[in-house]
Amino acid sequence: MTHNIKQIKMDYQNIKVPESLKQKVESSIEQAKSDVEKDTVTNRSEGKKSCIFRVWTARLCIGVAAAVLALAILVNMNASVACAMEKIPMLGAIVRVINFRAYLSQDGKMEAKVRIPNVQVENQEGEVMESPTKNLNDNIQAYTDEIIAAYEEDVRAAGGEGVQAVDLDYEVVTDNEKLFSLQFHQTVTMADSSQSERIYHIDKASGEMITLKDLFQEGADYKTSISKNIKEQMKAQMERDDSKIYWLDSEIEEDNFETIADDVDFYISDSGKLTIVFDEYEVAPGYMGVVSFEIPTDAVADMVKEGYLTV
Amino acid sequence: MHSPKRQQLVEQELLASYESLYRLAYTYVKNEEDAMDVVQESAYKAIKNAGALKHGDFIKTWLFRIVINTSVELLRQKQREVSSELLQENGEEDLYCDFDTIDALDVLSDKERAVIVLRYFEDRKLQEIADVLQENLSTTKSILYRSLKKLKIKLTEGDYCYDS
Repeated sequence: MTHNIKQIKMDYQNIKVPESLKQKVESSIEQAKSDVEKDTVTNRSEGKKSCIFRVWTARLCIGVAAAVLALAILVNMNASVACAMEKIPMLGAIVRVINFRAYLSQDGKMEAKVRIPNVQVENQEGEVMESPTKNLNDNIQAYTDEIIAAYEEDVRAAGGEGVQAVDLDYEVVTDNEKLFSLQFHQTVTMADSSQSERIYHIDKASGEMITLKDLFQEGADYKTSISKNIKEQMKAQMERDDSKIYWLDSEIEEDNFETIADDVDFYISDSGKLTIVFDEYEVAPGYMGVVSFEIPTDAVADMVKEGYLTV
Repeated sequence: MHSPKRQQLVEQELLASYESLYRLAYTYVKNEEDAMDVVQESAYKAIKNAGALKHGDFIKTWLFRIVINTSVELLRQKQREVSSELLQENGEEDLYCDFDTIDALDVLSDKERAVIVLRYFEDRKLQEIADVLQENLSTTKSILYRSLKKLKIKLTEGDYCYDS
């Protein structure tokens, strides 16, 4: 089915704006102004108010007091950020980034910005699942500690002369009925910059962290099938486009891509396809950046566990 | 921090463009009551945080961003309610108008929707849209192309999709 953009635009312009809106906007403005004044008088810090639609939406709260309460407790930080990050799936375990800590450091021309999310795994009853929650957060912490330690080591070694920027941020890349995946992007900039990725996955059914092998049946040789497919894609891409280079048949044999590692990064794309992610320099020259390959589900259809991938 | 001047500018812009903000919110939440809530909440946040506005920020761009974030926030809250209300279906249904073609936007993610609405319906420049999304220009362009592809829109000649 095709849609004409003009048709959609017409419908858009025909969205009727209720007459009462103007007056409501004015009353919000007044409310905000008086709150700002109050805050100034009592010198309260910003960001304490929760971002729940508290002022106008009593009707939202009816019957869902518990849920709203849970949301309201969320926050020991900028409230709008916390709410924006929330992910609320319908089934199975619920995984949320409830807030984050930031490691910020500036030392001459060296700086680091590391955001460390604090994640919570809950069951359907909304109870926190202690062990998976701790497990995931410990893993994240170990990873971020490692990055921070490497940075601090570099600062010490440079003795005030260094130039470096470390940046670590994260995003929720998948959140469906089966899986919650949290991806970290790390960029280290010195003379050159390098990017690397790390992705953590929670199986919604169990609440436990999983790796690539958990998507496949016991004993299945998924690594060979996936690697074969990636090699084919690399080859096809290089044939199509001269500007693309992967280390496939290069002279330096030890650089050549042979097989994916056990702990290779992956995620499930929006369309339900397994996507393998390689850090910069891992399988290609630096200018190619972080590269990823979407694996056709056909290639692994006979060994994947049900429900994770779609054809 | 407290900046009466900026607050005043934000207030003017809110009163000038609340209708656009409402339509934008509507494409996300799809009903009158929620769209009004979003605009009200956004107006509140905007005035409250007017002090955080940096010099040179376009106020309208900033307002669009607040409305999008607030809409997404509300949708997530609602989703959560649905899951906790499955057992007690006594809530009143909101009235959803039947806009067939606007429903076509449902295939888009939150960001993609923002790009399409702002580019084509609000006639904003790509650079402004990039500012709204806090993405760079080329990322925004690729979001635009991806969205068009998803919508399978056939652009007529002369309706070319980005300003150079």
